[in-house]
Amino acid sequence: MRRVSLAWVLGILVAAAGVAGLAGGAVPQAPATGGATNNSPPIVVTGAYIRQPASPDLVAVYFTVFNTTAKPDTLLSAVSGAGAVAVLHADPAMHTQNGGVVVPAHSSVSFTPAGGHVMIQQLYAPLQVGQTVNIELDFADAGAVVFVAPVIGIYAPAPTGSAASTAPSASPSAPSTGGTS
Amino acid sequence: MTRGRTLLAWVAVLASLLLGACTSGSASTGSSASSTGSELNDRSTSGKYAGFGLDPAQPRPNFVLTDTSGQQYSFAQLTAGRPTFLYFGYTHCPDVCPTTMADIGQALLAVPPDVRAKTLVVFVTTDPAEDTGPVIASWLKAFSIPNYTGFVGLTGSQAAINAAQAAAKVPIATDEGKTHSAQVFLYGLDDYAHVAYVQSNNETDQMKHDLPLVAAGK
Repeated sequence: MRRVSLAWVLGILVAAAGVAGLAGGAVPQAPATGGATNNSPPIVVTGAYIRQPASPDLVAVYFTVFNTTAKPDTLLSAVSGAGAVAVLHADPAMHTQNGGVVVPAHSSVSFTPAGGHVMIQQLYAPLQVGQTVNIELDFADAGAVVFVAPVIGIYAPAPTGSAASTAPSASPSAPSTGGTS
Repeated sequence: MTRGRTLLAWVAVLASLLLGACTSGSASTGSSASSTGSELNDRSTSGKYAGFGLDPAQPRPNFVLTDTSGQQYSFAQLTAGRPTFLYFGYTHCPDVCPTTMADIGQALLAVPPDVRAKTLVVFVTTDPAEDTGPVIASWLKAFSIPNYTGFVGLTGSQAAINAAQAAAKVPIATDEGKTHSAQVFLYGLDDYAHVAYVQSNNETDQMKHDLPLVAAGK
């Protein structure tokens, strides 16, 4: 399972050297990791939220991803149930991450205001406080990781956990469903 | 009516805030260090403000733009003598712009009503091609606070927007306004900004600490 035909994956290989099973990266649903780890959550998502947008047609999703595995994984792209386009931005200058964002082994990466987010554009409908939005993150190794982000009020405090830097903290409103059985 | 008591209460609140700031600022060997956000903005400054001090203080800039109802708005004249937040951004912005405005709004909600009532929040678009008066008005409406009328949205010709940024001494925005200064200035009663802010996870705390000071001419 080390055959990787797509040239764009080369960049990920640099960052995540030695990772096997990259062929599954572009195909959500069935993680093609070689190991027998499908019964554990490879990627845990905490502290997810969306602040009600002031702009009518775009919004940012904030969250923390924790890689529970012993290997780095790479967040490649995102899909949203709330709009036509979802783009991964890993810095406030909103550069699209063509090579993905590496999440080191046993570590987390937080997407927080001014520090990165998934931007949803061309919203299907205005977002209302209290509703939830389905988000899928696509990882090179872990495949599709689906979670639910609540929409909070424009002046509501951000859920705790979004700033977690070392470990996922309890976040009742944003359970991870990434790959769990 | 109970002005003295309110003042006393507020002094107590301020004292506790200051104490908090001092505690976190001096606890360099403790567990206070935050691993997220801007280091520049997360550290406590040595002065009386929680935001970062401007050295030297920056005068209230002089520029003329158009407000959301289409009226000419002369910034220096119409904001003179009032605590004024000034921020440049654009409405079609998912992250820093709305977060910064929400931080300002949360600070306004946290300060006493008389301080809030004196304070103006002036948002100047860096993307005048998209941000017409009605677009900015709709965007600002999302941040509205009951009984508060101090949000001002400004647009104008590209040349006028650039002149405003130059007058405020922020870098002229590029990339159709999308790459712009993230700095928020807070001008005071003396018509100088002694303190400014950038987006971080404690921006609101800094603002709500500083605004009553600035509103009191301190």
